[in-house]
Amino acid sequence: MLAREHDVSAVEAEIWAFLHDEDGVAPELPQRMAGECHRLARLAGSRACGVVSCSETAERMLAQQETKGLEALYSLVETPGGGITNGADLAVRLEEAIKERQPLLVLFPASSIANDIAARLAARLDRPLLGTAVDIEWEHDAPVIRREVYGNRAHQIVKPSTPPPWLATVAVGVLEENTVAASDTEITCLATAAEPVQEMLEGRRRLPASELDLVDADIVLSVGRGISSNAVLEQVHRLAELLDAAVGGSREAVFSGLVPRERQIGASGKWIAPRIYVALGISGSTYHLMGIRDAKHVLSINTDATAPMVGRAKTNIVASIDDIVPQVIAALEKDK
Amino acid sequence: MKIVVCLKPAVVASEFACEATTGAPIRPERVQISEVDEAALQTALDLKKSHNGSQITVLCIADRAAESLLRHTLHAGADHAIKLDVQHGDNIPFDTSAAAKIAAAAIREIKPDLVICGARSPDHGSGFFPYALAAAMDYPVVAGAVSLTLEQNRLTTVRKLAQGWRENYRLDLPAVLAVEADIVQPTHVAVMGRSYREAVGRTVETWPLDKLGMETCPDSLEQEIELSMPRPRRKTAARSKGGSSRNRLKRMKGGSDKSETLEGPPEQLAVEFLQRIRQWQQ
Repeated sequence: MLAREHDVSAVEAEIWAFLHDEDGVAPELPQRMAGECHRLARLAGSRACGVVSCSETAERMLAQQETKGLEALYSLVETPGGGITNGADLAVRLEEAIKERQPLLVLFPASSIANDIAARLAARLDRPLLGTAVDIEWEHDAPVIRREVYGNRAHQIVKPSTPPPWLATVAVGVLEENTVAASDTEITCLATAAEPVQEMLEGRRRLPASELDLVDADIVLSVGRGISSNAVLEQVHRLAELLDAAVGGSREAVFSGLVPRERQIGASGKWIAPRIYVALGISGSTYHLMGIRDAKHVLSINTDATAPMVGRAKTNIVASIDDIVPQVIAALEKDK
Repeated sequence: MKIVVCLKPAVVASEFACEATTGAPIRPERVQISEVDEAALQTALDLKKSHNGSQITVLCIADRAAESLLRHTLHAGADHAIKLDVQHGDNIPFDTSAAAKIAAAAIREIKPDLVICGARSPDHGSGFFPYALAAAMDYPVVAGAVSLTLEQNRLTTVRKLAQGWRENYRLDLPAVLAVEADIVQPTHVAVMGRSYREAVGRTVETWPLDKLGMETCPDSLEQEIELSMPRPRRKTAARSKGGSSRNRLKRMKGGSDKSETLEGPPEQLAVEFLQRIRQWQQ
């Protein structure tokens, strides 16, 4: 769909969702944010709109059906990247766009990148940052935010005491699958003039797999008592390198010295929610399973077909790790 | 070099209690320095060690027991500790934006080169304070710093993002830096240690609002309607149809009803393994 010039005359109440699909953001986040924006717009009786950094991103999201439920999609610049170098730049452009279109509410996912932009924007606009909402309702023409406070020992319900625009971040974990039917979304370029900003972003990089924290990893290989020797453990590390995964272990693996204490997964270690969790020789005690409760896909390799992990895993490979891991490494190296 | 550290007295969340009749949560009275604020103070102390002649001033906005926390920072090695005395009369925590405006007024008096604070407090955790402060001061800001180096009035820092991503920033001073708890390892303040003994004669200063050129507290930008016990978000998804007790138990543990078991020669299983990983990665 082609971008068109913005028509200033037709301004009506809108609710915006900031959508971004840069590195470090979960791929399903934009479509979930679009769904949440659609829900709130229905409650507020206004238009649901998305806002993205550039037209290229807008067109890509539209093609991938990530904007279901949105009536319009605004891009801040036309050119790819558009010279936007950091959150400070983006906040300046968004501020201009907000002043022009005057949306009631702008929603951001509570991811580290979006939170940075939202906080900068709230400070520039002198508005509260209604932060990390676990639920948003619409009462008396204003959003009412419920958020977790004091380490989730209580919920605080707040509303803004300023006029719109309001800015809110939504906890990523509460965003649900967007089930709204696909509809026509119009791309509009809000050409904004960027001001120079003082912060100088020099670059963005991802830590190598070996340095990745378990909670940050998309794929986690976890070792247990089924690891027979140091040679097999080395192969697991090699496999982690090839898959860009982090290596953790069960409590038994920590006791055996296979992984350090800070890489223990389970009730008494780390609670993780990776996209893919691979259990290598782990029987799956209740306490270990608690730590991987939120893992999306679990694959288990174990010689014991009756281990508790079998009940948790989506795919169970009944075989010895000593046989499988070298074969997988060979296949991956061959593909390189 | 002048460094200002902003502290927020964090309530001891483990002491949260409920009212017996209504079940409404009661905010604990006791406050402490949070892990992330300890890291901010330690970062300043480390900079003081590496930059001779540096002065650290700790600011704290509080209308209740902040004095002991500020005294602790003097014992740890801070040169000045200032309590910004703001009486707003009730037990509701101070609005972040208002707090930032008051802190900014005090910081203008001090004219520091660098302002350090925690990236987010453990109680509310919106992470808005450093940005609101930077906007009020018109300083550049980087939040979520996990490392920093300071050379010739220029700060180089690494910002922590999700999923192992990092951003490298370079900014000119004066600036606001909000640090993560893992930027440094806090050192233990030994009773009668050197810094403790040096702080014995020092007092915590109290600055009222009129000293900052403010007549009243800045307006709060948000209003607390209620503090309640946690409740899950209303579910809009269709309810599960039930199934056998075994399957329900499996779902409660996070498992799915459909699982597959693969057996066969290792070469074939390795191929199947990679197929599943690639499929799930998409």
